[in-house]
Amino acid sequence: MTVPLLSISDLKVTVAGLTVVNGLTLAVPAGEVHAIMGPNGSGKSTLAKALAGHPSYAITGGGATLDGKDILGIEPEQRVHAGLFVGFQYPTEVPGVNNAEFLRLAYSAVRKAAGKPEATAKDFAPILAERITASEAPGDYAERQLNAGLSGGQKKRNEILQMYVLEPRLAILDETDSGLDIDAIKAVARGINGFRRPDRSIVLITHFQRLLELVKPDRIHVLVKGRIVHSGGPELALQLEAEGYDRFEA
Amino acid sequence: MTPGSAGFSLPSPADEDWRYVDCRALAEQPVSTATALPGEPCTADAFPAPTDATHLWALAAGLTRRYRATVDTIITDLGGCWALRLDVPAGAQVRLTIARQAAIGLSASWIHVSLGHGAHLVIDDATTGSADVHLAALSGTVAQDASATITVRQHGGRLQRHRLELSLDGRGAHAGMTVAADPRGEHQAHVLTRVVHAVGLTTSTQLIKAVLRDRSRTSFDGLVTMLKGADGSTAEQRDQNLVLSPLARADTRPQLDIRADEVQASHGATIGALDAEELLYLRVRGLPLDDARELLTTAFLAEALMGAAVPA
Repeated sequence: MTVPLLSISDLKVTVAGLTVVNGLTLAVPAGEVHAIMGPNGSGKSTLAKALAGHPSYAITGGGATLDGKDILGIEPEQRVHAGLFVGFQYPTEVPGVNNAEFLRLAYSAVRKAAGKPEATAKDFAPILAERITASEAPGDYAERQLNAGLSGGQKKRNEILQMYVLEPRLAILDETDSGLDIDAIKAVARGINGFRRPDRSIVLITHFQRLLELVKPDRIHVLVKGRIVHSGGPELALQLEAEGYDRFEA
Repeated sequence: MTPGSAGFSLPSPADEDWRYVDCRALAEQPVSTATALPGEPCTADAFPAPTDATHLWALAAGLTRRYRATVDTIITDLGGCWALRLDVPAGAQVRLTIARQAAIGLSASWIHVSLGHGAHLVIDDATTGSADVHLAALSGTVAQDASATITVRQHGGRLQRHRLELSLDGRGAHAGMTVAADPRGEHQAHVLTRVVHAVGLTTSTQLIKAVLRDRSRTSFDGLVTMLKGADGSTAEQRDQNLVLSPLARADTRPQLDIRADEVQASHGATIGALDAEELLYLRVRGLPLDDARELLTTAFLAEALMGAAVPA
């Protein structure tokens, strides 16, 4: 039996003394797209932030591995070097930091951790241009500041560009569809679909079925009160859209 | 020769304008006359009475080499005492570039500027390298529709102090002052500003940014005075300090003295650490902690390093 790319077992996460993720178990094989849906406050964003390594989200039980290696006992940047990418619901604005230079430094850090040479600005320029095109990010994103001055939707598209630059094995995208207009959501969906590969996995955290019409998931999981209470195929999205989460919350 | 051995009275923290400066380093510094600088030699008559303690003793010592210029000027300051009188003729645009390099001992400089009607002066003043002590003073007057735009980079030197003092004497006059300070180790970087809005419809901006590492010290002592009759004038004064070490110290004293009724003046000072969320965001994109800190520190200074906007 092959080891899933992402394996989470009985995970418990506490925020400000409150247990928000409470015994979550999930396995995502390589090459698959999984979606996590659930009502407000069910622990979706907490799961994403805890896996990313946010210090305010304390792991109080269970574990998580990426490609068989523990990711909870290492620093946030080491998780990225191991192949994890977490796209946030509200990406942080970092004024004064040029997007292209930031992306070059991030790209170089991942390469350095892998024993590869870092990229100079000259080396990186054509790589960035190619990734901007592939991710369908607006062409001026290289000159912009890191999320500062970008709208909510523009920040999400910048996150997709970052994902393309870093080329993670596993991307967890937390409500990447929120705040996007119709054209932008289609562009982001094309970006996510274009990122799919047999050796990569994607976990979409979303409230809405509309993204899942454009990015067809292999599996959908229902998260309620900090644990997965039901899993199913892509048809589950339509069922949830029609019936809500009431029957899972009982 | 040192100031002490020559019998001169050095500034001390007891002097109001030097209250934040650890002046002990001054007494040990050898002082000398600067080597030749660009411009025409001139006498003390070309300068008003000095207002800063450093220059009082330097001038009294007869150590100061004085020059006069009216055009673009580049000065490489290698130490010693010097003074420059810069007259920018009406309607002219002049740039003064000062590179304060690895001076040995004390560098004490005084630039006095006089801007004619509609004149524009841009000053780029950078201290780099491992200079010992740089005490720099700039004073002057700005006439109607003229502007002085000053960018100071304090990036080296055991003790640096810039005193920037301008009087906006004609309607439409503007002063823009930007300082980026990044002292290391036990180095000190100090800024004192005095801007006087003498008439109406004048504008001034000040942005002072300092990064404090190790055991470094910085200070900002700024005063904007709006005299009676300065109605319609605006002034903005911002001092922002990024503290990276618990052993470093920043003192800040932004002040306004408003004697006119219809003016807009704002001032503010912040002393803080790196933003934890910004730091984390860089790390969750793969940057090691030290690299993330350095990137944010560079970003903090970036606005000041770009300099004040030059009026169109």
